[in-house]
Amino acid sequence: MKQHFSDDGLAFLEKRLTPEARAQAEAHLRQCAECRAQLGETRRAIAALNEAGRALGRVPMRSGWAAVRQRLLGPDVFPRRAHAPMRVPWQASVTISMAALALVSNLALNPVRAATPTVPLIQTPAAMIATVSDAATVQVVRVSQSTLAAPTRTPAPRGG
Amino acid sequence: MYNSEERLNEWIAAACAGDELAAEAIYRRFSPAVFRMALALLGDADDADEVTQDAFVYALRALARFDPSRSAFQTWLFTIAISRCRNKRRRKWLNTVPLAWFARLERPAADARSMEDWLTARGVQRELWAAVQSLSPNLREAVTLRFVTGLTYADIGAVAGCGARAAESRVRTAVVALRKRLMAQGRTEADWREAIEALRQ
Ligand SMILES: [Zn+2]
Repeated sequence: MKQHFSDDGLAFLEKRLTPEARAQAEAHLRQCAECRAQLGETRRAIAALNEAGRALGRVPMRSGWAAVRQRLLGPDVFPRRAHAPMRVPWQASVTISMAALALVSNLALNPVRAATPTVPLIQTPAAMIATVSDAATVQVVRVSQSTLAAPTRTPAPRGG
Repeated sequence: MYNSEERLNEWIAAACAGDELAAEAIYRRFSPAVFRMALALLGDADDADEVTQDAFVYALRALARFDPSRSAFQTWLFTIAISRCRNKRRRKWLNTVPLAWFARLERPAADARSMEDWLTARGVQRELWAAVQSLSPNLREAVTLRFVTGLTYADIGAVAGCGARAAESRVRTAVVALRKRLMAQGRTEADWREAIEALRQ
């Protein structure tokens, strides 16, 4: 009860104390201005971090499923995808022969580089050193990339 | 709405069998959370976008290896994403990143009640951001995952690979360090209240 908060009141603020420990903490807070001040500052820092989290939640994603799909399948794997069967082979390497597995997984690990060596989707030197002012350029590259997948139909999640 | 865990298990099974719509459904359900976590850790929306893409490309290929008895699906995804965040941060850590972070958060002036409000908000956020950046990587990651991303200690322990107790201890150490640094700046309670209010829509 006489002891200062050793954790800046974090457990107190997160309501992780037992009722007894909480009562002790409250009793200490009533008599210790130093711990009260520290607790207030900790609470405000946490509130600001929470707010930052909410602000980040409003930042839109730059790309969507089309970009991931293209990297999984590669733009040339199913050039006429509308007529292709629903089953797609990114998990197929599990069941086929070892030789084929080596080949398929090698392709699967580098689908973009294998299929479109002249237009890497990401990890270009430019993207790696991109600054704020470069963001628009990088974005343009991505947009044109996503059009390469050219799905003739927009898949939607079932249900939901 | 629906039993999300049952639905998720169906999606995972179907995607493992090569069903693209199921894979897309998984992506749509979880990519916002992965993106937001990466954004919190990296402070740059384009980097966070790359990490999100990389994580999903990897996760959908490795889906058959996901073991629901060992972790929740989102935790597994976060684990995949966080190692990519760490690599990216190591490869590319520029002084411009904090500025980028503020640029992303900045809203049009018309949106703020007064320019002063907004500058005050940015001032406090900038101090807080600088304080977070001054932490060691483990502490920075833990405190960000706890308060910006909102993970539990158990999840932080699993995602960061350190266990729940270490996660809690890291957050505690980080909080004390942040508080000391912020108190040294002499902000008043009114400053903070204004700043936090101004950040709210
Ligand atoms: Zn005290």
